[in-house]
Amino acid sequence: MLWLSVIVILSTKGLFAQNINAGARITAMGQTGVALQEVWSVQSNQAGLASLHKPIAAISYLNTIVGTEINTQSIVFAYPYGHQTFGWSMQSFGFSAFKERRYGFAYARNFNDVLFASLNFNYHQLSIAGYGHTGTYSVEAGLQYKPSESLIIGAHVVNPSASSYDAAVDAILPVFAEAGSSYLFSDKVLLSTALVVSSKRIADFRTGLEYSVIPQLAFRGGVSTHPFKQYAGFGYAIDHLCIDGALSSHPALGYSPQISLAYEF
Amino acid sequence: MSFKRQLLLLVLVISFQSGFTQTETDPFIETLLESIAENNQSETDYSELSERLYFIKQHPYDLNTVNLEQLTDLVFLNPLQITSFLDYRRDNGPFVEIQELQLIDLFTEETVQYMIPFIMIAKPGMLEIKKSQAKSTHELMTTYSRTIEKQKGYLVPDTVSHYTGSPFKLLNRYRYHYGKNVSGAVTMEKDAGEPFGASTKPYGFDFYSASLFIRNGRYVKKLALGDYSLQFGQGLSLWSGLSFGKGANIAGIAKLQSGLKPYSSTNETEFFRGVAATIAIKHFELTPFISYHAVDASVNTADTLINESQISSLSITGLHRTATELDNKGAASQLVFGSVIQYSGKALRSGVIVYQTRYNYNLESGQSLYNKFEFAGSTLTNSSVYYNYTWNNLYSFAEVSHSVNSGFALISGLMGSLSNKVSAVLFYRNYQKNYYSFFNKAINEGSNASNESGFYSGLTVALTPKTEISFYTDFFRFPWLRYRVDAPSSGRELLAQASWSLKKGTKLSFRYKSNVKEQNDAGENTINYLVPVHKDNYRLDFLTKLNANFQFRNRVEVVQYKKALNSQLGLLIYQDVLYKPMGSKLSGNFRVAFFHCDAYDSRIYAFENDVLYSYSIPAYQDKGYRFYLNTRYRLSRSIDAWFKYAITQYSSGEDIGSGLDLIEGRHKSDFKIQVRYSLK
Repeated sequence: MLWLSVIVILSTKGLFAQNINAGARITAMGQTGVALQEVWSVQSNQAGLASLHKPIAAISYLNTIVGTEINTQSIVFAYPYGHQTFGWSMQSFGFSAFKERRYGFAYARNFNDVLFASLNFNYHQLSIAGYGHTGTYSVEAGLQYKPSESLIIGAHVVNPSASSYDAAVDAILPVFAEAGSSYLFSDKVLLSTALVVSSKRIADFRTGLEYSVIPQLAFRGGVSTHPFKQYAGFGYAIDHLCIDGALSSHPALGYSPQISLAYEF
Repeated sequence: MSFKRQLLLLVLVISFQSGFTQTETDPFIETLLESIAENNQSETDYSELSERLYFIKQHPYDLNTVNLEQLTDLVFLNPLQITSFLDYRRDNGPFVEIQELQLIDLFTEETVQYMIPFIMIAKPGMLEIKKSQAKSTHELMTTYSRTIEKQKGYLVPDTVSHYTGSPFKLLNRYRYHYGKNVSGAVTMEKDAGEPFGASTKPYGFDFYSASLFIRNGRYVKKLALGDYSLQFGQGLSLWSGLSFGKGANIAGIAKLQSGLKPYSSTNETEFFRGVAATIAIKHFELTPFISYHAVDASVNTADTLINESQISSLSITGLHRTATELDNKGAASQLVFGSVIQYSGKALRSGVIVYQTRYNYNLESGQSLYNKFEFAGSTLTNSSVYYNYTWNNLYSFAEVSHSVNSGFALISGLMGSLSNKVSAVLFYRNYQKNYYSFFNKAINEGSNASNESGFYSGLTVALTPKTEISFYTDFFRFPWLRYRVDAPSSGRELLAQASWSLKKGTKLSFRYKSNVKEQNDAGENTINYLVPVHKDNYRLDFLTKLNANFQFRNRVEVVQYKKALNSQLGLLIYQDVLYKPMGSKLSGNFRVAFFHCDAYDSRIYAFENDVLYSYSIPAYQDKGYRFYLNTRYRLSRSIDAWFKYAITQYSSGEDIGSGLDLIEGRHKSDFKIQVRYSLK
């Protein structure tokens, strides 16, 4: 039964589009990374990288559908240099017979800690056992504006040139634009929102909340409206190491647990 | 009092002096009642709540003596605010100025504005207090109303099903208060179409209710004789009367119990009749109760086919107009007895409920597959454990309930004020398909708290003191079939509301609500496939105060309904004018509404002003106009009179309504007259 549903899901085009995973923190906050700033910005809105002051490396493992071997693994690295930050990302989605890989290189620049801008280049690779593999390129661009210490407004476009694999392959690369904001209500409460408009689907409104009980420990939650998903998670920081967990719930796919680790040099 | 506190107070007192002159509470009570009404789309009686609020307005609570339970009456306060208030008073000593409320952590400017009409600060030796402590007040009220056009039920010959009584509705209410601790109520009602007079039993009215309530004895904290209500825990097991559901008031998801209460509503089915008391010993309270009364039921009497009489269905409408309805009236009886024991500490309250409900006949469960797990039998024993606990800025609550020999149900929630601007609520529920309680008012998306699980999360953000955003999402599943749903199903609901207080007396709010549920497709099959049913509401409200006497209220609401190929659109626009001059004998309001709804599923509910204590939330359906006029005139110091006239003019069709309520023609009009005599 489970495999049947997996097949049904995989054969649905929209859902099959490679989901870019931006670490457990951003996932737990309802995938509202467009106006957040951290190392995983490299997989959400690369402009956020420009706010970093120290190199950070991070990995993440997402069990996309519980009870199957379908998963998403990512490894990212950000290296700030003056007013600029360079980012590398690698993500692999699928299972043994089906793999979708994405390699990204990001360049982000910080203008006086008020404006942040970025460009990102991706190489996508798709391999299906018995059928071979194919590859293609895409670009992303992002902006973040920080008018005050507590507010960030962000915008991000993904694959505006609508590049895709060659016509023989029945798989798509997502094309979408997103805009959103994050607001720090106190040193404990961070609220974020995002509106994502894709070329295929109607707008998806998302919102997320992070509550830091103590500076080292945070609880998070979020929702997205289309598809309707609920998210929850936590984060714990010890010295240079940060551990984040997230759980998302999809009405049809059920729960997807995720864990991320980050190390700040 | 510290110097800082004195200084703050001084500033507040100066800046809020103007706030005292006029306070409008009604729009808020209306919004609140509206949000309840949208979730229970049945006829609910809000008179008890509004009567209570008006009573408190006349006899405001003293900020320095008001207790937890009394604060619960002020339905706009959430549990964290109540705790915060009590903590403040304990830490800082008695209140000196009302505006000191501004200093309480979780109180917003709006909270204080809402609260002002209901509170005061008693000065030692204040004459009024002494007076009111031992003073009788009487209130006698008569309400007469009827539909002007003849309905089919009164016109058809006596040989077929028809309304046996006359088309008017008559309600008499008597309220008695002796100080703050003794109260009595008598209610007599005859609904439209019900017989009135000698030909019926009981003699005269169709429904009688009476109650006597005594508070604050040394050990017996409350004593109820006659009709009463019980509200405990989160409403999963034992809760009768009004309760709030999901709405724009996010914090309302946590129920605030009021325990034993006198009953004075006109709802003819949901009450207890007998004796109940709350006995307090230190931190413990024991509430034993027993109730017995006749209930309306359709009974299959014993004959050659069935050995013993059985109840095939219980009726909750309270209407006894036709021969069948009269036959079913009081055809069965219900006995309820049990007890609640509760501990109340500073931060923790917890209790255990055990009670039994007995009918004099067996209840039959329905024959359809969807009600396979419905309750069957004559005796049901319920037990339940609940608690709520406050820890810093977090309030947690839960109730676990069990219907003996059948299922379990669970509610668990967490509410937090994350900062002074952001508060969040998480709420989980899981009700098994064979969980039963006859007094079950827990939050649910179906028809009662059974066969459902769900997770709700809500957020309220005060962006600025004038701008507030509320947002919630709810995802739910129904593990067993339901009426018109031939498979396990699921759905979700989302609400977002933004409101702006532009200047004093002017408020703009926008609300979006979206609900998706699964339902059988339109095919005529034995078993159907499920299709999603989408319902989206967009609402814009505008309220403004023109001058000291006039207030304008506008609404535009659009509803979109979509089920497979059936898609409908509904539109409602109205203009209200409220006239309330200070000190004048005459006040009133009117509405002109235009509505254009494709069909039944795109109907729109909207709150209507009515005579005192009455509230109505009619559905605007089909296409046409509606007008109503509502006036109040003060005849003398002790006599007030109200009059309401309403007419709906439809733009198409041959008749209005269906069945015995059918009216020929395109318009329907009603009027209502109410007179109140109060003696102080």
